[in-house]
Amino acid sequence: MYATQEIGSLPKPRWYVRSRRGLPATYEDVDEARYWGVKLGIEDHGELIRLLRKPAGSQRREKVERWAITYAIRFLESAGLDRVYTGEVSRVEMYEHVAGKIGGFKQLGRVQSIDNRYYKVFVVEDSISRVAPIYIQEFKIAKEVARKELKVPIAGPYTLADWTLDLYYTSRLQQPSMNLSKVGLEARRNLVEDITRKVLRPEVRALIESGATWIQVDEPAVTAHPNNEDMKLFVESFNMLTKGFSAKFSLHNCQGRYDVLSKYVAELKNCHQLALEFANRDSLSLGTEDEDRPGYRELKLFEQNGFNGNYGIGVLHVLDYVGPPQENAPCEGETLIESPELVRDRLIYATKVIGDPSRISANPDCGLRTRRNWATIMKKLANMVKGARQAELL
Amino acid sequence: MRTLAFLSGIHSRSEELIDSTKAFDRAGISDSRLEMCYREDTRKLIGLEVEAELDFICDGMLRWHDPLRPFIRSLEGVVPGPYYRWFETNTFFRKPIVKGELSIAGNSLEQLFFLDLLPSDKDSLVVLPGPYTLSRLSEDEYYGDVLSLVPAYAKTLDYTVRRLSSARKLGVVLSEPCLVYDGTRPDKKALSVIVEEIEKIASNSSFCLVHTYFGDASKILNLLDSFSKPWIGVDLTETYVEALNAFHGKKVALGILDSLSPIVETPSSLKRLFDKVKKIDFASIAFCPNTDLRYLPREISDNKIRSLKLLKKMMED
Repeated sequence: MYATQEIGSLPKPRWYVRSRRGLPATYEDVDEARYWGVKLGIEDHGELIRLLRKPAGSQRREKVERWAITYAIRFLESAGLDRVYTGEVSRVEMYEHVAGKIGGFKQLGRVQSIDNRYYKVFVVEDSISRVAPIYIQEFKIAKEVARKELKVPIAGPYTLADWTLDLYYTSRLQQPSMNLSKVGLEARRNLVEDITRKVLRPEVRALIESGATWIQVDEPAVTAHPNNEDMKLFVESFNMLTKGFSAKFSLHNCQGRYDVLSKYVAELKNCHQLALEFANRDSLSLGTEDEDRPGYRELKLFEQNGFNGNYGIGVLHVLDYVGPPQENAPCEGETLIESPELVRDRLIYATKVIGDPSRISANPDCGLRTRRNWATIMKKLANMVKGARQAELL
Repeated sequence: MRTLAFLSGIHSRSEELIDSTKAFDRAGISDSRLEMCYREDTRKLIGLEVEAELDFICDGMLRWHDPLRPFIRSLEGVVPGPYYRWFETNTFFRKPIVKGELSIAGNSLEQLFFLDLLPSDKDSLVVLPGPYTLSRLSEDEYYGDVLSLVPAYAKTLDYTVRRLSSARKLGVVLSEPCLVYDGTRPDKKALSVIVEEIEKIASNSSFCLVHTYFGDASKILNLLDSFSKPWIGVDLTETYVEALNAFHGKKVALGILDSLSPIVETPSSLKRLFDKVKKIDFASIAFCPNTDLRYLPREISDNKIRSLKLLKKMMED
């Protein structure tokens, strides 16, 4: 059986966004909360409706946040997924959520990452520390609410360091005679180590003590610098982060250089699953031969390089799609709705490469917060589950 | 020796513009409203460039989601494909998929830049992806090899430059990171084709810069030395100044502003560098950012533009 899982984020419900901003709920917000409350069979959602009608305030905000997490978990469970989480709805964005809780980091402003999506960039100006818990509160709510297995996504140390501008570590190393690129690498190494040791390991320990059994380390920046020194640094940071903990750890990467990553994954000592992006690179035609599945071409590199763990195979595209409509993946706006048959063929192809279907789970390429509409996302996820069931029959 | 200064790529969007683009994505504002926001932000940027006394004014390409896509969309025979990382940054581009013979699509070139906002009494420039970088980053299903694809892209670029320059005098910066980036540098066979094609584009332009970044320019000295008409742009965060001795007698643009560092350059912080640059006998010299400033928040990028004025003055003094 192919397990199905989410990979991270969902778009936040409108009623929750307005609540976070301290704004009163509109009629549309209330209608949205009611519609999904009924559709997802959420117990006592009338209480949320009453809450939304009350004046905004910090107490209301906390309660609404709990509801947002509940809705997201029920949403993913209703789609039929085997592993779920909170859709990261209580996080502003994966990087900012952590960076804002690190002492020594200062927020600068927003920069573009992909099209009209941005992140707040931080600069490290001083010795760093974990000034507040990062994921614990969210996890505790999820644990109370969820009926399916939980997989907790956290931002990885290599990515946190790579996305942070540095004034502190570089200045401590810089001397006139030193080679600039060596200073850069050494500074990054020190930052990665400090983030791992001072910020993320305490957080992971607290998560596990609170009952977390599976932690997904999100490392989108891995392979951004495809040189050996940086890749070794990533491997060391993953191993340092996970060392000695008795939980499952997995790695998620997207838009990466898999010809590079595949050479290093066998060195990850505690990596239960690799969750990777493939659908973005693939054709929309049906078929299970090499020429039908160009996006999955590099999957075999991981096997050839000796990775013997499990895979989360990206079978759903999560970004805007601009192209001619396709029979096996119609579009709603700029969102592809992959047919169950397309998902099925992608999984069958992956199975041909890997051999053992029990090592394969199906997931979207990345978080789905890039799609705006829960109804559209539900169609994508439901088709993913159907596709997985179809693949099992063949 | 006259020293020039200008921007050489996509500038950072302002916080207000960022809010507008996000609102547009949520269907909160219309196409025309967003266009007005782009124009307003472009006006502000141009005002800053004029105030900083830059020698060429560019529109900052605030509408460009990535350094290739708008140009690709102005062509027939190629479509934007999947998202890939833009070199070693946290930004992404759509890989061009070449499916047929390349040609210009209708009147789409006028949509690339806000040329009408550029001041008529100043020299101006536009930044376009260079033919080698376009070829190297494309998935080619039609031409078969880079040696055939480079001339095809170059032809469309040449047409674009001539067409855009027909209404007003315009310089052009051809972005060519693939010429110097490890893993994408051209082989010997490609070199002569690249030089020949870029020289053709340069011959139709009042000012042409081949701007290399994300790699060490000293590793392709032979290629850069072959250029006669165009200026050569080098990334000083990747290239040792001493290596530029090979360019004496050449027109060189120094990518001196570090687009990946929040530290705003000052004359005093660059003093040692200037002392070395002064000793090299360049035919002409220019200062610019090493690459797009869009990797930094707008406030820092704007301050870096202001620093160009100071740097230029220091060199001239």
